[in-house]
Amino acid sequence: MQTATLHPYTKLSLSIFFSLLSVLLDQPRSLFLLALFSWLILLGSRPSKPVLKMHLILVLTTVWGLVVSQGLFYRDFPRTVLFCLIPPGESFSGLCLIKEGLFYGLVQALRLVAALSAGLYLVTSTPKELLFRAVSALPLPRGLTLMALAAVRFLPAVADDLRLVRQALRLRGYRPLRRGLFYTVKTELSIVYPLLAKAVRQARALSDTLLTRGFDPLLPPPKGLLPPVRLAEKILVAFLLLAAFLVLAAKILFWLYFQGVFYEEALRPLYALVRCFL
Amino acid sequence: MKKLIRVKDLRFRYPSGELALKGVSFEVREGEFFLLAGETGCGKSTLIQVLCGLIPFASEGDFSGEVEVLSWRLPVAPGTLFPAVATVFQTTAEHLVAETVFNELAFGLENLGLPPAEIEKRVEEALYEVGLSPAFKDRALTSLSGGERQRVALAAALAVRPRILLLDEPLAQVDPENAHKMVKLFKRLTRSGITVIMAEHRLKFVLPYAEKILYLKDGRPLYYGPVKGFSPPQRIFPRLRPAPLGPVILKVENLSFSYGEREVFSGLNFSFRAGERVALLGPNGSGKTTFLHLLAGLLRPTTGRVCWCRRPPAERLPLGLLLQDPDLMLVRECVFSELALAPENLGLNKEEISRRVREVAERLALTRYLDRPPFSLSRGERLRVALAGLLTARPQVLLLDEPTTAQDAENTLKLMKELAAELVIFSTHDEEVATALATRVINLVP
Repeated sequence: MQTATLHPYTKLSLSIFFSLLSVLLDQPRSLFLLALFSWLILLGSRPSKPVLKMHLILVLTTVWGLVVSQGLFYRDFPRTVLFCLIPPGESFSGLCLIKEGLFYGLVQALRLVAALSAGLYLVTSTPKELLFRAVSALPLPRGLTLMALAAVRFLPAVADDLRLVRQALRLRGYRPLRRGLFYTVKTELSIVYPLLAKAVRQARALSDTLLTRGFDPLLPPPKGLLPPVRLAEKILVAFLLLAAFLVLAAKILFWLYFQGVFYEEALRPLYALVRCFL
Repeated sequence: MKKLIRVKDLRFRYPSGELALKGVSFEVREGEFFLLAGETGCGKSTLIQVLCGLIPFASEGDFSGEVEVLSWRLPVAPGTLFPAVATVFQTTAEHLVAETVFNELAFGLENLGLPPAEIEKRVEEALYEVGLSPAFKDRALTSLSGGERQRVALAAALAVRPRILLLDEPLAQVDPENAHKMVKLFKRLTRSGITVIMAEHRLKFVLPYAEKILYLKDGRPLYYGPVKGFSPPQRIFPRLRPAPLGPVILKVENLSFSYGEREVFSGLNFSFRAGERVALLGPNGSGKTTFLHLLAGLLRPTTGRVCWCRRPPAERLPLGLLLQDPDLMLVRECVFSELALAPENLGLNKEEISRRVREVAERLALTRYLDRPPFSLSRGERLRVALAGLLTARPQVLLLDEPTTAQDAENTLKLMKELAAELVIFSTHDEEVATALATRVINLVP
């Protein structure tokens, strides 16, 4: 399946759908399936090697960080100690790896992987230009979308400037830690001066441009500069929204039952479905 | 011809106290090619900001006098003057709002609420007008050279079909060949009824085409009238006395560099000796900055190498690089500590650091600013602080990326005189500066 050619709004809907479900779902199997589908959609867009590498690094660090941290610092019960890095003492409860914590961390990691893959799919498979146009055309105040887009556009430039500032410092003989920790921290923090000054200058320039080019933040978004959404994609988006709504409704009904607020005999199959799969 | 602009006894003082315009009066008629001239800091950009409505509407400061643009009497919001007045600012890269050429050109048209078909049509027309092919529409602005970006900014201004076109130093980042082409284009626009007001200090490109000129000096009009009666003040660059040539310090062997698949240059071989002042000349995109960054070791060559033949003693740095944007080099809270940064990193004692800072500050006329935060200074002063921050380390080689941009002749000469390094390599667009101040000129061709 080639998912790269989908309309930006379809991609945005897919991304929102996966993010929403990653929050709503609790069952590990369902979350695993969600993360898997999200990953397959990313793969379907035939990402480049650097994108895949970045994805892999992000996934591995996310999973590793969450699993290990939850495994070590899980505080709920029941708890099954697998082994202790530092055994408990009289005044210290020890640092042990907890089986339930590892499992809990894995579940949380699956949520993040699902949302991360979907977000990466949207951002890396859509030409930046098309994505910008799509966001600009959203029915939001133009002042908001344009500013958000300008911020995104300036991010790579800030990264370049940061690299240049650091290189310039290095050429002036600065080496981290060579002149002590305090000097290093002071110098590292001072890097913000030129970046901030440039940001202010650019913000001023941008505001001058907007003022002189007839920009009105209350104007409706520009229309017609996006390709139309295909019927099949419209149906897909409708289906996704409906599915997300149904899951949300089912979870709410289950929560009401679980809290003893509302129970309906006829909904028992639904409660079972939520308990086992959602 | 109808008068479109009338300015009478205009004065403007910035909130910092700087009096930028001191009693300026002039008139501009429809279809005129009007030149605002004068050296850097004379008030040209301030005047452009007044004419487009930014001053006093969006700027603090003391504004007095009468300014009428079309039928509006200032102060009015710049949006009121749009689209009749369109502006192309000096720092084009900072004033572009979109990601691609099409969106940049469409921006103003969208603000006018035009239908998509009309926008498409006008974008194509404007691109054609400035000599860019329709294929440019989908290009990312970041992929364009400085000259191409300048044209896109101009096309964006023309797309809204203005009556008055304000241009602030449109030739500042353009090589001579493209500068000629652009000025011819401006002249052609005036024939189609557009009034062009252009602020520029490189007069030799513009004088043959402009009709009227207002020459400013320190915010005061020095000449106002037809270009025919105007004799431009000479840009005097007395030749710097060349130092005797010493041994080879730096060698470049078979140097090639590419950004991805785009080759910037290949097979460069040079030797640089002590005592040389080398100017790197070349149009936008010819690789001047890349070459300097390669010499400084900020980039790795695709093939070939840069060899340092002599290393300086420990109390000196081997090289200093002045970035094209010197503001990125200012990291300290006051000028004194900015100048002390490099000697501190060399591990010098406090007395020696203080001695070097004061000596360099004296040479670059920065002594009275030593307690001031660098960003509270003017652009030219900030450039001098960045340069002084290098000189306190007494670098063996000085690499300067466009140190003369937006500097007048006097300042340029002063600056170059004070550069105490065994070898100075600087890039510039300005042929006059290159030939007058360098002992050798390297012309890079894209």
